[in-house]
Amino acid sequence: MSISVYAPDGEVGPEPAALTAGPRVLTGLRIGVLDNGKPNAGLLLARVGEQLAARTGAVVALVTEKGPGANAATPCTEAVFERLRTECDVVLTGSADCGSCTSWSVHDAIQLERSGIPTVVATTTHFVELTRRVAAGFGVPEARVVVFPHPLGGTDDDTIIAWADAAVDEVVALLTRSA
Amino acid sequence: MERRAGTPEVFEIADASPEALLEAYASRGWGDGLPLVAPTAERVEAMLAHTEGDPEEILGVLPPRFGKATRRLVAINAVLAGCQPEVMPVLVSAVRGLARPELNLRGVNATTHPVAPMLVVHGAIAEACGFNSGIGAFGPGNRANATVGRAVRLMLLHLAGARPGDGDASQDGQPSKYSYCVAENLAASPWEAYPRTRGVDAPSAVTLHCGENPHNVHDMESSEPAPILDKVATAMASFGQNNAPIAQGEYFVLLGPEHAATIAAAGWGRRDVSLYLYERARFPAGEFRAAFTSRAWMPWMEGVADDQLLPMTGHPDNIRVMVVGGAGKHSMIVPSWGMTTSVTLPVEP
Repeated sequence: MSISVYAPDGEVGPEPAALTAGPRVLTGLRIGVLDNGKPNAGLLLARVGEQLAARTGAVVALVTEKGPGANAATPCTEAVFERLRTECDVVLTGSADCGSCTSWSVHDAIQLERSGIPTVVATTTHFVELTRRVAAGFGVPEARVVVFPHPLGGTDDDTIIAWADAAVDEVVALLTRSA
Repeated sequence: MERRAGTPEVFEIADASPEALLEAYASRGWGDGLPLVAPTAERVEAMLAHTEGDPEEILGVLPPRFGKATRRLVAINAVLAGCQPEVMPVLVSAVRGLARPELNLRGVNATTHPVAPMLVVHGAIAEACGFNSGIGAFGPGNRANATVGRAVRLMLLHLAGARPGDGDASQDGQPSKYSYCVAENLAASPWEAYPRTRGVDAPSAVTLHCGENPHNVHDMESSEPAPILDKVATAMASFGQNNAPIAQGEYFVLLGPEHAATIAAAGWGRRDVSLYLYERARFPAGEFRAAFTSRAWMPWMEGVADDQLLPMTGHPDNIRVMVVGGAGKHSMIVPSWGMTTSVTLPVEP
């Protein structure tokens, strides 16, 4: 008499994204800033990078936009990606404070994580939920996300700098997390 | 990506005989070559009764096939391997460990090296399920050790796609690729439970270390730590191991209870064992350089002059010590594959 049995292999997923293991300490490491060109993103991220370096003994090794022809709604160029991958140990990117810029900031961050570069995405209170959904779509709901007040665009420089300074401890914790 | 997977396919086989199942599975490229227990719905449900949570939840995605590992698939492979249902939380936790990025399963499965993940079970569940941590711990003869280790391998074959010549390029394979599971002998250990050294303080835990087969070290005569550990150090000091050119490689040093008792009686802690072996398992730096033009060393190691001694691994913490086995005067080392870091996780259903 025939019997029914299960197949043992199940479904195949997309290439899984997983957070790379974060460094235990940031001292001596090279920080990269990938500015997607959104208003105040560069100011915010550069300040976080400087303060992170001052706090931990890391160095800001590269501050770059996404490359010729690339913008907040596209991935960064291959040349920029390669510089980040080879010249940096950790990366800060964003801002993820709209739909497409959120999707592509998360995409860039996940690609960097896949290359072994722990990467923090800067988002805002209004877009954190979308940021996490997009990250979950890539298979990494636990992506490294730091949340700032909304909006970044149109906020004065002193306020942006104060927000940046207040976020440094959390960025340290996110980068040194292993999964 | 969704966090649930569909229910695995069910299909008919000719009859309930072991031969019919083996043939049906082999014809689809499944199995490890040994007879299997039929994964019927009834048996799989009995396994799932010993876990909690959604049977279709994705616990991890295992490369290189990117198979979505769910509790139901763990249960199916546990049935195939002949497991008792009570071990399910061990297997669910092992899958979570296999999916951790620092373990580098993609590399572990893909390499030409013979590496296999060694699963160590710690604590209450090891005792409750009858895992063997004493005489003959690595086998044969104990159902929990044998079948849980086999279930891990079946999941690597079926979910991760680590089939020899396909997802697994291991040149020669090794016997531990059939089954590689053991329990820590905490009752005979002079030191605290191993998971506590990794920051895990749970009633039960699992450790996964991807390495070679165990290498034996025998010392029948010593009454002091140093002569025993000098012999361990000579087993570690080998240019044939990936640990030699890869500084992050770990050694698992599985001391027999009698060796451990002798070492502890002299007042040595686990940390002393690691530090002593770090100091003693060495070669002149120039010999390393002559043997390996390509080296994954920590930067400081390149600064050591050719005539100075260099350790076999870049940090004493990479030498991980626990007690395994029964009466006798043997200990074992398990050298790493190299580009992998062991993981220790609490057992959760």
